[in-house]
Amino acid sequence: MSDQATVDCAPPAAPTTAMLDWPVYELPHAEKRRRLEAELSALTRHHAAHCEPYARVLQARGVALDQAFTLETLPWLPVRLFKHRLLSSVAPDQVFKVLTSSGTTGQSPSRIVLDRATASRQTTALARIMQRFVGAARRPMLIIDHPGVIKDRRSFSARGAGILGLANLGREHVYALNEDMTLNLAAVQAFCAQHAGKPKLLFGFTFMVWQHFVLALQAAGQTVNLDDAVLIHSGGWKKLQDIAVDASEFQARVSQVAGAVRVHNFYGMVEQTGSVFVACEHGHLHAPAFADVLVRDAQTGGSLPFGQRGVLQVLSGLPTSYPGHSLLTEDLGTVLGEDDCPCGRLGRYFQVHGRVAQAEVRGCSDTQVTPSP
Amino acid sequence: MTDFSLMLPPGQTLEALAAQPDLPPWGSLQIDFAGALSRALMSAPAARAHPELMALGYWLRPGHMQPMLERLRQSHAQTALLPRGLVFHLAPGNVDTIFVYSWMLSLLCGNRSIVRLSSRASAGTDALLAVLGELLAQPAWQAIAQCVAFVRYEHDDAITARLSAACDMRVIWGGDATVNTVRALPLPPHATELCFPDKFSLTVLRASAVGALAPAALAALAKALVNDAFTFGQQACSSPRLVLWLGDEADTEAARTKLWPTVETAANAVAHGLGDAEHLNKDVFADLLAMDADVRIEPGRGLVRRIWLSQPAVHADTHCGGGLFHESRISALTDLLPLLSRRIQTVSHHGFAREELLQFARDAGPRGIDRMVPVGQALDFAPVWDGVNLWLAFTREIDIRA
Repeated sequence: MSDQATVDCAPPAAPTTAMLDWPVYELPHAEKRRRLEAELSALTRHHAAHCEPYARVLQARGVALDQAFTLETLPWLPVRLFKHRLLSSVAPDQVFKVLTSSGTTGQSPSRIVLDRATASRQTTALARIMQRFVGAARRPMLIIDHPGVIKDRRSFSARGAGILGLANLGREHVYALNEDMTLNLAAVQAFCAQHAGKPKLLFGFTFMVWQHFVLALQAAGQTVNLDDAVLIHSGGWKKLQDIAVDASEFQARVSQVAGAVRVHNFYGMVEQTGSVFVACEHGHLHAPAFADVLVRDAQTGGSLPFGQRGVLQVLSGLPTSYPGHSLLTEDLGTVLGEDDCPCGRLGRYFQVHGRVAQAEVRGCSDTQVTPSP
Repeated sequence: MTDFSLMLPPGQTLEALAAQPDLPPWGSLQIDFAGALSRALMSAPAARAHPELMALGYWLRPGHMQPMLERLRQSHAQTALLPRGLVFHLAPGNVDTIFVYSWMLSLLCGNRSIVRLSSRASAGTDALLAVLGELLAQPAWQAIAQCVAFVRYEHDDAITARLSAACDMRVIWGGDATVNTVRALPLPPHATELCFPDKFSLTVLRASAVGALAPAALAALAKALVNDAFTFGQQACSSPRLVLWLGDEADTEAARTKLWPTVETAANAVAHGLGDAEHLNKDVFADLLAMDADVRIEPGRGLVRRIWLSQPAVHADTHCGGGLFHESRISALTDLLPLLSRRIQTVSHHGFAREELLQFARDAGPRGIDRMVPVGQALDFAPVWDGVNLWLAFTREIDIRA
């Protein structure tokens, strides 16, 4: 297989870091498409040459590697493959760390192989994106989680990795929660007092911010003054949708307990760390220059026009250590438009509607749920 | 203490069921009840929405049961067959109707039954329970109602152990994991057990025969294949997951080109119930197989997703159902032999004479295969299942010599 892959294509140019200097939200779509298609086509050949299982998949699908792929014709992998197989495009001694997703109960976690170069690009990309929302200067940072979640650095859960990734953007980090997930009110109040009147950064996972910060403050009958803070949060709306809390309700309730806090949600996944999609002030998730998003029909696999709901495919120019540059997610979404969001940012902007409804599992093994290893 | 929920009949208790005498084997009361259930199913509006319930009703009709029982009576006229007693059935979640087949055969043999329904409710099961509830409430069927308890509970070894300890026979439908888990729970020393673990089924099509089909016959074959594969989302053990073409390359290519578009059309015409999740699953399992074996993922993406295997093989663990077909070519029935294990259940076929199949089954020494049926009959239940004659398994024989 490797013989064949190297015959098919010239040794792929090592993806460069030049992409990271592309203006994050200023590339008009034709120019962005031209640049991204070249990068993603090169990445496809790179992974085909360096990750045998990926090459086998492309071969089985009859994908010709010598073509110039478009965003629409670029092959994708189902994101769930990373739960089944460890897919790596680097030699074992080049592995810097393996990210794992926390995973839904009963499912195996995703495992994502990172070398130093990919990890570094992820960190830089995340910073480039987030600076557009919080500025270049590092802000004092309140992390709405407990410090234990990043203690064991050998097991990089998605939660821990997310916190560490964002922590780079802040300074003088304070954790808002105790180990038992109760609110550390004294720590939060001290943080507010110390940085009163200055820009601040808050980060947490959506449901934890809601449950352990907003509701906890409310239950305690307390408010804190976090004026001039930006709250970045991520991690899915499912649990909040279940209790009918949407983005505007979320923003309103945060403001009630914490003052003039600007809230930005982002959509991202451990399989494409770094190139995240941040919601603008209009609540639209935006593709940065080095990433993009498509919507596909689950049955036919065909790409759908803007405005139609389907399964989200996410593209990222960052990953060279694992074949995750083009992934079909299991999330439903709609691309709302491109280059014309009222916020002024260029690129595609979209909405996520939630997970694809899980089919009723109708295997023979019904009467017993098999625990996954 | 957690306990099971009694679904039917109201007021039934384990104690009452244990104290209840058995019914006479193949007694007229049970046969009449089978007829009543058949009529109720075939006329219930809710059942009409579920073809598998109609099939069950058709199977239970007197015109089908009576001759079958008559043959049994004749072949066992000189023996004394009695019920085993209290039978504990653990029903699977993939096929809604199995619990009724299992219970009815047991009942016809005179046994009392505890039936554990899948903890996952389904529209088909709900419709069945509604029909059964109405029937068992009628005065005419009180003697039947006294001999059964339909229960439901989340996986709970303690409850399963308690019910197992009370029974004379245990029947486990549904998956290797279930069989292994339940088998670890003891039965009374005298009790017997039947297990129906995971199975894999395939279809063998003679390429030249498919190639020669006129359009109407081709459409009928496609519809039959769709019925076998899509009725339970390709999750029934007898639903074909591998299609093997018997013939030369040219005939095979011609027949494939002809059949599959017709199957796609036929699949789209039925209420298959497959959604985005199944389509995404098929992507995952196609790619996983591509990593393991030399395959070609066929480009057409419809309800039917096909993967051509360069070598015929059974890839049971890299298959998710939902309209995914592994496909390959063989030159003779004996090419099946290396693929066969006890896991292989149904071989549905088209283009073969009975003699040819019989000769293969008798002379070639296949290590697996429980049944060989024409395409379209893969889901048809029969009292001989996975090689076990259930009429005899649900009875005990008193050996009498004089």
